[in-house]
Amino acid sequence: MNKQQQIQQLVDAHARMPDEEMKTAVWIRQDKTSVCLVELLPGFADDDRIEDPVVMSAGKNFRFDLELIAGNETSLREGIQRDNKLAQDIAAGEILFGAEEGRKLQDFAKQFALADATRHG
Amino acid sequence: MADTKRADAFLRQAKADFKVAEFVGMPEFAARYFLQQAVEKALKAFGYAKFSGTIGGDRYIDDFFFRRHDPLQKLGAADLRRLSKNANLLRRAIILFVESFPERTAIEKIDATSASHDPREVSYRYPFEVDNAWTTPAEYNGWTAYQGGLGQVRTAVRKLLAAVADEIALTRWR
Repeated sequence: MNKQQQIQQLVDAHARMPDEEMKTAVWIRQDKTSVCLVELLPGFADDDRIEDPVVMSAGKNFRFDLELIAGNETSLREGIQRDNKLAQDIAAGEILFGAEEGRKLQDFAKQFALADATRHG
Repeated sequence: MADTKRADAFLRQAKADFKVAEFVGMPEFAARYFLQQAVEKALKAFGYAKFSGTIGGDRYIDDFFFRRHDPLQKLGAADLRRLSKNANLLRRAIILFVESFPERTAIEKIDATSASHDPREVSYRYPFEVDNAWTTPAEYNGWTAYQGGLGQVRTAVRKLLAAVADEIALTRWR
């Protein structure tokens, strides 16, 4: 199984988690050796440091180190506003689950990616 | 960096508990108690191997996982909103890991049989009620129906320990 297939399998497993609704998953920073996913999980508590990824080691079922930026919509949107790099990366990321919610998140991220580009451009 | 040294230590103790459960002549309740101990420590070893950073300092992970006899059940049943982000993601990693075993039901049952004082719950350590009569772990003859045959349970735990050892080895290798 190649990297893309492993990631899709992992995302699908996350989407099937009991008692844990996932609205979207976006693969960002695709040039990294590790895998960085942004996941919108409405059931999670508010998190004012959402842009700091939780890092999990590679294992037998998933062979890459995993960086997860995961949380509810409010926290994710606030994180995007605080962290321009995150906004840019989400805007350029690949949606692997929840196309509609993913596009909404990307549209929101684009506003802040563009705003920063204009400021510094 | 994941805490592989601590993960290793937990796994070594899990293996020691597993060996005790294999002693010839060990009463069934005691064998099952040590198998539960092995599962508990193996799952904690997995937690230390999997997470980078200091998960030991997260009070939610301490309360719902590291300080529990039944970490899988306790974390699995937790309200997501009451957990920290780390605890939620650990919860998910542990559930998916255990789900990958054909023997997952046995592992879940072993984990869920904790050192409870609740007389309605089957216990390895304290008397409990069955059909409105008190019994003891030593006298209880429903273990197989409740948890699966002892051989089957041993197999499940043996596979769990091997899989956790693989996870730690992969983490260390990287």
